Amino acid sequence: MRKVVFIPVFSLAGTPQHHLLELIVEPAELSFTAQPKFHYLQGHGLKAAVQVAKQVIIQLKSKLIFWPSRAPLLYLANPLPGLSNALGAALGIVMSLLMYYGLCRCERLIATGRLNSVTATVEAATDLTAELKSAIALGYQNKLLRFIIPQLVNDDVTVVNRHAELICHLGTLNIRVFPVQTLQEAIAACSS
Amino acid sequence: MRLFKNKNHEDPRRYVFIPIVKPGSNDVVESSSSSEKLGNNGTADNQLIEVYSQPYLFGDDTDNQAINKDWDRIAAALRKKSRVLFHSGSVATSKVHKLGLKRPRMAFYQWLKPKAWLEQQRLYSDCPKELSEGNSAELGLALVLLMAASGSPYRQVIATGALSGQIQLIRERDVEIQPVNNLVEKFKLVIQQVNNGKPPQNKNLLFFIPKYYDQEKTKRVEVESLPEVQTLRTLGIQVVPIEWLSEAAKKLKADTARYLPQDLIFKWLMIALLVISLSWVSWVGWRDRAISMAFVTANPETLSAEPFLVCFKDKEVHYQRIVREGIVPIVPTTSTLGWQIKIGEASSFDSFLSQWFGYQGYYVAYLIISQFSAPKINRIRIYPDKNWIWSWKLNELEEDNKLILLAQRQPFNLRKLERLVKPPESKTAQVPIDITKIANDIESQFPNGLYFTFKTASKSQCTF
Repeated sequence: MRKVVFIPVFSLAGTPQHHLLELIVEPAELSFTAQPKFHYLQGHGLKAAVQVAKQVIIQLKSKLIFWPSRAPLLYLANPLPGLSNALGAALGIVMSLLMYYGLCRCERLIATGRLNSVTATVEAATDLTAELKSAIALGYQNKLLRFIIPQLVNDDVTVVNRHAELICHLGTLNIRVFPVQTLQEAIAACSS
Repeated sequence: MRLFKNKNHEDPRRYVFIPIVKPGSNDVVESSSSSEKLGNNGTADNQLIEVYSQPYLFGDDTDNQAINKDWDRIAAALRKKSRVLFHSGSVATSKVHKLGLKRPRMAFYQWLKPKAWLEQQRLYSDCPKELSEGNSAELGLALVLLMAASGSPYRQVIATGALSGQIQLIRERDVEIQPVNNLVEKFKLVIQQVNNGKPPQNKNLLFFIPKYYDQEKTKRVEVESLPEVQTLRTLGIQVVPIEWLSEAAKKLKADTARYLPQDLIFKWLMIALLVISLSWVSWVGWRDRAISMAFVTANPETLSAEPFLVCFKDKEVHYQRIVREGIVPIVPTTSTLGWQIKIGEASSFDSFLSQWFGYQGYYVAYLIISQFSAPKINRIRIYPDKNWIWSWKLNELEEDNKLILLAQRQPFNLRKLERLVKPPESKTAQVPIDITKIANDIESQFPNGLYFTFKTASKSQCTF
């Protein structure tokens, strides 16, 4: 029942570094509301992203057909000390919960991008070069690994045009990039 | 019999000693000359710090502070001592989460809250000042959490090592142990501290270290090749080089979470519930168990085992056999019908119930249903080992009748009996009641009763 989402992040604390956060979601205690448990994400620089994720999940809750009685518990297997205000992790957090609730039928994926809590649109936090390189660092995957990424890097440039080479390289590693503009597209991509 | 055996009475606290060496420090032993003024038997930056883990104590306000300030709750108390140690504690908590522990059998609370074994742990340290160390405390902090959460038989260990932040694609649930800097200096510090009596010597003191170390930052070699490892072993320290965190957990027998006090409470609640349920089922089963009933003869010389006539003359009473036409017993109208019945069998269990719970025997009821006359119902109580001897004065109508005798261990519900013998709504005075149908209905609910069919007629009489 364990689901894993890899989230590329960038820390400016000390020596600037890129890092691939390993966000794990597992069943926690039995409860009537089954509200997600975010408290293990405290102190790891994800406060703003968690806030956005909470708002999006509240909106989604009424649309969910099946709401399990075991609350999902989220934690980081490899926190990055010094990380702060990582808004680009919001999509990854939401995707992990959707995987837990069965709306996405995969066990692992990579996700990066800001989420607009009102329109549920996915936006890029950076130019995505570092994120794509972080995914390349994972190496070859035996099983297809999906990479959900914002479609637009800037207003008029798509990620496919900007990073065609990197995306092609990822394809050779069995990592398939899915550029998305909305959360609905992200859900469709991870279930495809 | 693990069910009743728990380890909660032991001290839940577990300790780890972590050698901390200032980067660039070359010789710990030489620098220890200034140890007196610096305390902790070491230099200002070279020290063997002690960290322990124990369950959350009610009243500890660190949790509130951690929630307010968005800190990791398990490691929050370390932040008061050292921010570096807090970060290491936070990383160690994440790694222990990832590794996980098995849930012990019968741990119902942990079934409800699968992460309770870790959520209740808190890390504390007595380290005197801010540390300059990087991440070599991570392994020690992870181990002390595992030891405390599992109730490991090992109460204290020494450890140094970093936990890898790399994503593991092969051993997805395991954590790789990374080499640390200044390993030789750390060994020397431990040797010095052990010689000084800290940590306390015991034959099981384990020292967990990474399997490899980086020699001059280019060459990775096995730690076993270092002479200091052999020196530590001669001092009675069991040096354990490890590559994965699960190896350390296995060595520490820390693969299953310990019983929590809440588990014990839940367990006894469940046992109590089970006992109550079984008792109730047993009671209901015993109460509804069929009671044997059999006619016995009131006078073996003149009567057979069936109802009889009770005849009166002046003050004399005698019992008379019922005559038959074919197979139908004919009972004179206005006579008195009598019966004697043995109910149940005397058992030690009934005696036990009678002695301890005031059990008062059986409840019996007799019903007489007739074609034209109104049905009659009476209920009485019979003590165990007593025969039920009873008689009933019949009415003056000539008709078919049924005598129904019932027994059970709980009082009869009069309304239910009345409902059973009630004639159909459509019945008029001239139409006889189908007493066979009514008797069959009753028999379907009381299969163990005695059913006696007889006819009342004016031609048969008591004879003297």
